[in-house]
Amino acid sequence: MANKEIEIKGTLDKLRVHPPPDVTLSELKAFFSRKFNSSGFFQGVKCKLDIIDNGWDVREKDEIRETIKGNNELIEIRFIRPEDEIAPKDIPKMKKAPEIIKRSFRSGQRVAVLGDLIVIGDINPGAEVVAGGDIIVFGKVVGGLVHAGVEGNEEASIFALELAPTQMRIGKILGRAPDDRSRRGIGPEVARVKNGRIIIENYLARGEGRR
Amino acid sequence: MGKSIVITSGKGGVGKTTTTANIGMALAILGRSVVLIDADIGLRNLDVVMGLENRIVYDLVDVVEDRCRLDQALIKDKRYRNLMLLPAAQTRDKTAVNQEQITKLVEGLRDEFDYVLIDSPAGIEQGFKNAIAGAQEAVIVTTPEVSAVRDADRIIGMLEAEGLNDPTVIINRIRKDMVKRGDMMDIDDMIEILAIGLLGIVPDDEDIIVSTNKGEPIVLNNKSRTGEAFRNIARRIEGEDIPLNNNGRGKIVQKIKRMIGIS
Repeated sequence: MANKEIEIKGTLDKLRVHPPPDVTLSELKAFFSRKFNSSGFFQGVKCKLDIIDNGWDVREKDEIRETIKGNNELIEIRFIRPEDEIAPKDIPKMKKAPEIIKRSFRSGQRVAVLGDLIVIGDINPGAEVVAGGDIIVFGKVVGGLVHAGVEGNEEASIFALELAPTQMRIGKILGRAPDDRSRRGIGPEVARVKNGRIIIENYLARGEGRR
Repeated sequence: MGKSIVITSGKGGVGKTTTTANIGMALAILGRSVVLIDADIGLRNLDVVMGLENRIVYDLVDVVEDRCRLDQALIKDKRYRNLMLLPAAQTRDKTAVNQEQITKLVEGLRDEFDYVLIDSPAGIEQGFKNAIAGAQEAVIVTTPEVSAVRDADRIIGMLEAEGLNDPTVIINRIRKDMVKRGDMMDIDDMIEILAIGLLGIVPDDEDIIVSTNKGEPIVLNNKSRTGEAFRNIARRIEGEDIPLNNNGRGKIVQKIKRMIGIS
């Protein structure tokens, strides 16, 4: 199906959708079920979603709501009139507070957030931790997948008291654990992208850690 | 067209995944092109046993749901280029795929590979049904325990109901000393109950634990007797007539040969 330009934009603390005026109801519903189905990035994400109202009637709005809720019930939906929309330049350059999660992630468990993420707990092999921004783990990452800057932000970084995931991704760059030797017991480390590769550095030896 | 074989057992922990990894690797050593499918969605292990976990980007569910192409999800083995792995998803469950999708996937892979080996989850529910969809043949793994043999028998019945006739069995973790003392079910007893062809006998071996933890299937070790057992199984799958080495218990060997129709 040809994809009419439907865009989801992330603003301060919510998502905003701009359906073009000529989009049909079924196209819009198909778009939402694709975006919010249980396997996409928004799987299990809790957030607010503003939909710019193209003048649908109550029944049509209900159908749209049901499509989204049926895929992810954690999303809060609001229809807003085009004139209520804030122009992007008016949004203050303020960073949203990071999401803080106090628990460990075991095999098969997954968390995904739009902004920065702080986990107070460990990440076990087989778990997945995904964030649009930075990921900071006050605990041990002894395996699993840690993916920062998931929408392509290669400025994002990953910090952990012990950083030994099975695989690490920042933006679209991928790094994997060595096949042979184990990276345990090294101490706090931070990973970021340098010259197109993920570089892991000892946090305390970086200088800035001591400042 | 290649051949699709499901490795299943009913009971958990009898060595399905280790068997799949080793047979797959042994067939690859023989020069065949092989793809291993981990059908245990939500509890994937085959990637770990193969030592390929850190290479996973896409998985079986991504392929089925059209988020990537099949070749993007296939992981090339680091030792044999003719061996590939299609990993399972870890953060999903058995309901993420259905039998038609797996059948279509396996059919497609049979065009490109000599062997498609499917590692089934334990149990008899949807995960098992997904795993056997698309398989032309079945290999049952069991251990010399009454409970494992009971479950294997149940699985044979279920396979027949799905049209998968004439499965073969691999008896895993046999301990000859215990069999000799009469403390362990012997192969005769088990084959009498199951009444299917015996594909191989694999000794109980603590090196298996080391090899699975390291992600290096034991067939890679030329000196290992257990590796030899898996290499022989692969050659039998290839149609070679390799006698079952059962400590010179000629009577049993004869009986088994009769059963699988090679004498």
